[in-house]
Amino acid sequence: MKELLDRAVQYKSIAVVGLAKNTGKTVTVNCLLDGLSNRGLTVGLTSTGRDGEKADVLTDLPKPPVVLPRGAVVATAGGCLGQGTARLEILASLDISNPLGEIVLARVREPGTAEISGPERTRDVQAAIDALLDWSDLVLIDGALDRIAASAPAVTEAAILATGAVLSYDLERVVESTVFSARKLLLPASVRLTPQGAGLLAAGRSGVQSRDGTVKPLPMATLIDGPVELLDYLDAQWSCLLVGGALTNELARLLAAAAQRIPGLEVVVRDGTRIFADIRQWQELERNGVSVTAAAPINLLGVSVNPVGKHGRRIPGAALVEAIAKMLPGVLVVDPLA
Amino acid sequence: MTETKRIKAYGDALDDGAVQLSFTLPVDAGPLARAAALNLAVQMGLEHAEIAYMTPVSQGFSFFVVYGRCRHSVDLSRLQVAEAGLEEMDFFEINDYIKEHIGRKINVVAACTGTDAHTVGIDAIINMKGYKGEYGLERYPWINAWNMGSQVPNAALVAEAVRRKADAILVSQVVTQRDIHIPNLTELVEMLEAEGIRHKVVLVAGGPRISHQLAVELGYDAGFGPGTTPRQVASFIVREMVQRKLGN
Repeated sequence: MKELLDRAVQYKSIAVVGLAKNTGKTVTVNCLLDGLSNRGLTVGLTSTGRDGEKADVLTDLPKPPVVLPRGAVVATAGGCLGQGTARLEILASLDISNPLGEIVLARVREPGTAEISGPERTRDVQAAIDALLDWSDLVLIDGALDRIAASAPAVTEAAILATGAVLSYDLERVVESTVFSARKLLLPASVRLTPQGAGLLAAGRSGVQSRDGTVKPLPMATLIDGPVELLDYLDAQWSCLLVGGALTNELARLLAAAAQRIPGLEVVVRDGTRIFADIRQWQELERNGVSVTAAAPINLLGVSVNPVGKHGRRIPGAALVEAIAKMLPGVLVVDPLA
Repeated sequence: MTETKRIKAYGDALDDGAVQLSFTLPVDAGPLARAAALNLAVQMGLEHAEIAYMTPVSQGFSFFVVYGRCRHSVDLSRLQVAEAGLEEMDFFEINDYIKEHIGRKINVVAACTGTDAHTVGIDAIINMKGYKGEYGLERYPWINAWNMGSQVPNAALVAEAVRRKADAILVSQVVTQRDIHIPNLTELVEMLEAEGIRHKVVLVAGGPRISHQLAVELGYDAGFGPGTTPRQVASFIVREMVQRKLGN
């Protein structure tokens, strides 16, 4: 955990996202809150879902409370204030709401537990982070469910990926899906992408880039369902596709087929959170020699592991940590409670 | 102090707590299975539990119907229920509201996503003939509604929404075995985020096991359960659009 904290202090905003519910995101956040505030930092916190409520809305299983240290600042819906033991002082209210009310900034006067429910849409998350940074040194975002959009580099500077036995009691399968998710986030930066191409992607548009670096925007409104007319724009010269949105199975299937006549086909996505192709379709791309890169790589600080599954059964934590670490060289893998 | 209002399950008389439950045990039907079922019922807090019915369902499995009295009660005054709430408008009020506050027809794209082939819910809301004596959204002069039908992949729904410049996306999920609807619903939210259009649309989920609270937790703007009528959904969409200034 110490090593994870050493890495965390280098960033201003960190998203803790998970492969699923009950992968230990909140426990990881609690460890970070505690560790970072012990190092004298004022930590800001918000959540893209709801955290710290007593029971899971889906399974009714008990959930761990969010434990706030003194001085921390949270962005949460007004409706959640007073749900825990922490005493909070309201600092400001943001012009953002979620279904539980308007989001307010509050400082922890007396440490204790709290329920945190922040903005849901990524656009609003960005605004909440900016507001929190006025009052804190570093902001943590507790992700919701299996949603990872908050870890996009346009939103947060770094990410921590939570995984665990809730995915499967079969260690191999947990390792496989964790490694695949981490590799998507770790997508390397494109070396070919020109500033013009990067600008197009940052605006959420798609285009093609030629071997000499010329960029042409595509007329299609979206590539998400793999429109066949895309093939008219790709050839040996225009061999770099810039995807402004999601890289889905549908699009990947089309590209894997196209790659057979376009050697060196490269696909640049905005970042790893835009990849929705599953592991099989991904391997199909690799087999066909398509390289997938990112305009903006994600700083994956580490992977946190929860060896306890849905019904309280455990898989061996140390073995899981070791197996994941072996497959992801250079990535820190920790069990925060070990 | 708010007045408490405690209720118990009702069988033949008020507060008798009578309940009926059914379940399957992974053991062959017989005296041992019967004893196991009874033991389980007692652990669940049932008094006077009795096995009303036991039948083998396949080798190694038996099915039970158990009657008993549940001692627990619920205090209605202490319950908080999250609902997409808001006052409902009627057909005419909704159209007038769109005309006045948005000033153009709004676009609504709807689908049953994933492997789900059950269109009864989405049809009730969208199709012209509607539900419970109310017109569906297709009949609203100020709404363009597209019903994509069943088994629509999330990517196809998002593509349609982008091409139609959707103001609202309606997703129906009926099949919920092993909670398959959960990753399917969150994947849609994530795709909309990846495409950069999540903040431009009103996103609504519906289905027998969708509550407003669950939908909100998954990143939707609202969730509607069974019995929802078209105008409830339409009222929510147009008010949300105006509140979030999405109409321009």
